[in-house]
Amino acid sequence: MQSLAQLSRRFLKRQRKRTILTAVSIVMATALFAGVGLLFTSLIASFIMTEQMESGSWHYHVSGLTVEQARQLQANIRIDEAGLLAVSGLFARMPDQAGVGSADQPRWLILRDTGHLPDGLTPYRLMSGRLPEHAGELALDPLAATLLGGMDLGDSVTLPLEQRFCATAAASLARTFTVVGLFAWMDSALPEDVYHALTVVPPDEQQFAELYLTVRPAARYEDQLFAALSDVVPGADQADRRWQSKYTAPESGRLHVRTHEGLLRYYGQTSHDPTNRVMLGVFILLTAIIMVSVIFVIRNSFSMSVTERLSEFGLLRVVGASPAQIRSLVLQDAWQLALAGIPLGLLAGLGAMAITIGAVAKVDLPVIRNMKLVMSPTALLLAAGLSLVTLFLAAFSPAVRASRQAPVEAIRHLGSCQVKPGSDRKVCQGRLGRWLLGAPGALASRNVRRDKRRFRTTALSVAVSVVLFLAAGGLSLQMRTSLAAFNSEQTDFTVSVYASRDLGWNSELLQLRETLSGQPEVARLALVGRAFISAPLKADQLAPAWIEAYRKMAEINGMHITRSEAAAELLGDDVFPVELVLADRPLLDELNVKDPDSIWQAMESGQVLLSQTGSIRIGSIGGATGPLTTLGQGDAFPLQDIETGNGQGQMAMILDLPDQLAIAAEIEDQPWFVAGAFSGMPTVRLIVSQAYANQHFLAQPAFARSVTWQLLLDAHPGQEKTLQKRLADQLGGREGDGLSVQDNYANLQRARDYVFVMDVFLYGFTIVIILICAMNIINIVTTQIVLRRRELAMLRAIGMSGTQQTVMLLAESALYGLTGALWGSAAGLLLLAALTRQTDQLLAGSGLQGVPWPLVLWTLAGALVLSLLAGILPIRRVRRASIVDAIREDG
Amino acid sequence: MSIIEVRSLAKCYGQGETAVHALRDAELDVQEGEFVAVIGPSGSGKSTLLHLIGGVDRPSSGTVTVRGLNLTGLNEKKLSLYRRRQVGFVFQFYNLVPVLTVAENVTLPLMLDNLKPDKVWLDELLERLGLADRRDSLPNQLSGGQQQRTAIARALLHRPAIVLADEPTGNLDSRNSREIISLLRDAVRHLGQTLIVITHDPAIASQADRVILIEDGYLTEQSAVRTGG
Repeated sequence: MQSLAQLSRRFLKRQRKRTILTAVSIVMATALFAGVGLLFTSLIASFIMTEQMESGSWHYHVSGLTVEQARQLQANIRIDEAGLLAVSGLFARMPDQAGVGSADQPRWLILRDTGHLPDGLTPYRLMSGRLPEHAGELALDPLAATLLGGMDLGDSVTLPLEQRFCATAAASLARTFTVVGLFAWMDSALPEDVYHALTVVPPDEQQFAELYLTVRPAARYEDQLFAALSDVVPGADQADRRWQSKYTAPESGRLHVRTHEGLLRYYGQTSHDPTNRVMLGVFILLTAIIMVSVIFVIRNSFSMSVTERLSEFGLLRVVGASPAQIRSLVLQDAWQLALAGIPLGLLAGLGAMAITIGAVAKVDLPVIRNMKLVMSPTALLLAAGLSLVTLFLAAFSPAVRASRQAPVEAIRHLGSCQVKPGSDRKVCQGRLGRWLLGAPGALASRNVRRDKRRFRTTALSVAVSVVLFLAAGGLSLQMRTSLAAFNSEQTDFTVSVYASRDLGWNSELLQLRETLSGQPEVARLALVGRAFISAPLKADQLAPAWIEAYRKMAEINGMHITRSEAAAELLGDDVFPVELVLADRPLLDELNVKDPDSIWQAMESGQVLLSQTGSIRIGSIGGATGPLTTLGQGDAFPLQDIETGNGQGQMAMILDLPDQLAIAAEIEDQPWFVAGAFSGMPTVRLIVSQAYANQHFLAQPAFARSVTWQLLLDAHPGQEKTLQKRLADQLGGREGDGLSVQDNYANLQRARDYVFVMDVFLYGFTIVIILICAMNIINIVTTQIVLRRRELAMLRAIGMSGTQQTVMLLAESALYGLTGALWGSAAGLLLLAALTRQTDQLLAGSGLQGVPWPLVLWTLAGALVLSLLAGILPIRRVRRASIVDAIREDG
Repeated sequence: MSIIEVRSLAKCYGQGETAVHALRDAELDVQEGEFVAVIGPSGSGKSTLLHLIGGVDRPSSGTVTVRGLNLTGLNEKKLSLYRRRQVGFVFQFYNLVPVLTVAENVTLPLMLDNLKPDKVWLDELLERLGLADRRDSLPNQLSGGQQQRTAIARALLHRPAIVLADEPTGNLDSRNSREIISLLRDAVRHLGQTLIVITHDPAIASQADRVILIEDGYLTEQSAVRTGG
């Protein structure tokens, strides 16, 4: 075998350029495998860290144990870490407050004794103060502190303690607690009537215990836990495995195990969780894409190498080499390349991911905030293994071909410039090539089809990269289109004030409007009051086109309903929700209506401006835009009295709303300040004047409380940041207390950051695949040229000019690229259509519609340029070569 | 009248101690319509002389003038045109384009000039060369003799002034060799073309109007063997 290795090394050295190109492909493929592996492990590590920071590092929460059982379990060899909480049998009853709790439905504080808890294990995080040191001290979560009347550190409260689960309640006792700490509780939701408190529970009051624990690593954590549990609690076996994420009160005394789903899914320990399947699926898909792309490239390379060496193999066969030895010789090449390429690829993958993750981590996004490069040996070993398998899969078929070559045939072989047997059955005319580029074009068309299999393989490898590029670009475009659609439908900033604080036109918003209206960065602003009321519309008052559109939408979602059923669904309980928009004159002027003076006059006397144009997307197949009702100018829009809360938790009837409002005019376009087609179901809006609203709506406090006052702001493009800053300066931290700012601009920026991060990985991956495919074209074109040196020299000898030869060779390169790009575009568009169909639901139909032609054209242009670039070096080489030297070479 | 004038022609490959003088101070005049055979041992400079006359190589010194056109002063583009229009090459290893049929290989020089072949002449040529029934075959479907006849047809179709053949029978058996040479000779006679053939075969040389011997790069006129054919 040593001799085979030497022979292989010499050949690789002789074919230095191809060896380098093939090795670079292997390096890039290994780097991709490593990169994907490291990305996944780093992402999972980041998710794990985020989950641990947000809810603790525990694997399981076991409740319903006695304190003794909990201690035994804590000490069990299979348990790694455990935090024990002793639960008091006595619950502290919280005092009733207005609208909160009652004698029949009291609220309780569960008293838990944390003792010493390992850092970061449990979902308890001390926010301020300290943990209690004796039974008279209490640590509360903020909600419980609020419900206890806004308690803070140092405050004291006396609470009655009762046996909640005891049939015969023990004699009540009361205890005075001093609040010494506030903690955050980062676990799942609690039952409605139970809150947490930490204290020191006297031993005689300790009724149950619960453990937050991690198990020692095992194939199945669950088995590890139950093995430990059955040591402690006889009969705790499979029957007790309840995989519920919902909180079950531990105080019930029943053994209960809860899995930390959010964390263990990343360890692959909750097989029913779709996260693992999705991540595994994505990993397998990416791996398959890399393998297929690389196999094309390396197989081509080995195939060319074998073709060139057929005479050499023939000679070896003549002197006694067996087919197996010939096969080993070719596979030896693969091994030599693997030895050089794989370590380099692993280093390249590590370096690339370190740089990428470092850059991406600078983007402040919650999902990747804790992302760091994890140098996972498993990922690296897997990458090396996959590369090796890919390499040998690619080399195997050329190796077999070499070994099957008859010695005599091999010696006779004249090189791959010969037309392969069978290719002569139908001579390609190359008419298009001739029409476009004359004789060089015709020759190029024929030359690329000399070896149809190689042509197909090369075109397919280009196609793979084009498919990937189109899918990646299309998805990114889909996201961006969707973002743009959502953004165009929302104002950049919305300052809202809930009217429970101020029943009239909000003075703060009026003042803010005054300040901002003159600012150069403000493009548009409006001050509106918005509330929902009900309209008792009849089915025949709904626009038929709208009913039909709704029916179709339901059909797409799998519900087959008739038109009358669709109308009934739209009307709900015979009432149609309508938004009442309270407007002042400046707002009307912003709406660009015809004859605003007379409309405003009509509005002041109780008529309304109707805005009822709605858009609905029906899946990805289209949409409908039009009026939602048959009512229009001159009709009366019916209204119904509504029920609303009185602010004290009771419902109050509003009786004094007008029965109907006459429609003064209708605007066809949606007002700029409302969210449009992509923001839920379309709504009818009745725009009423301020004066009329004051008299007939806002005069009723119950109605006034339901109104949200909003100052809606759009900045001039590019000046959003200026407005953002000015708004922040003006509000000066007054947010909260009923005043809120919706910063759609910041939301959009964040969404763009997500798309950017996605793009970095998506395009990064695609570009490396494209580079691998470019290597393939370079390899093919170079080899074709080298093998045809004598033929090319002959063409020059009989009068082909240098330019004609360059055109011919460039046309050959371009044909590889364009054919692959056309195949890839067709397949890529199909894939994109499938992906778009999947994501369309997620993006509410706001994403990509139709064929992204500019992207397709860019892809084709890119493939063309890349293939032309691939041809440049070998062409320069052949142009520099001497005609005489080439002609002299023996066949 | 001399169609080819070679003056003080020299070609040296490499430099210094490793320099190889393929041709030294060669002087040659070839008349229009003349059949010249070039003989000499391997590596003596025969092919170099042919390549310099054919414009596929450039001399180290001296000049080659064809019909008053000094090849040494031509740029690559003009040399290509010269080779395409004035010269017909026949090589030892046929050098056909494997993806083109016989007819296409033959018309290749015209194709490169965007010219249409004279169909009557093409048919006649293929007929005379015994390729009429193989015109749509690819080179790998032909015998060696047929491939070389295709190469000859290619060299003749565009009626070049000079036909240069570098050991055209070197790869053929004696029957095919005789047939090829006689075809070449008859064709150039018929068209009044000038033929320069490199050969090791005395039988071929004996058919030439003139035989040139090259040894160690030095060119010597051996004899005027015969005239007419």
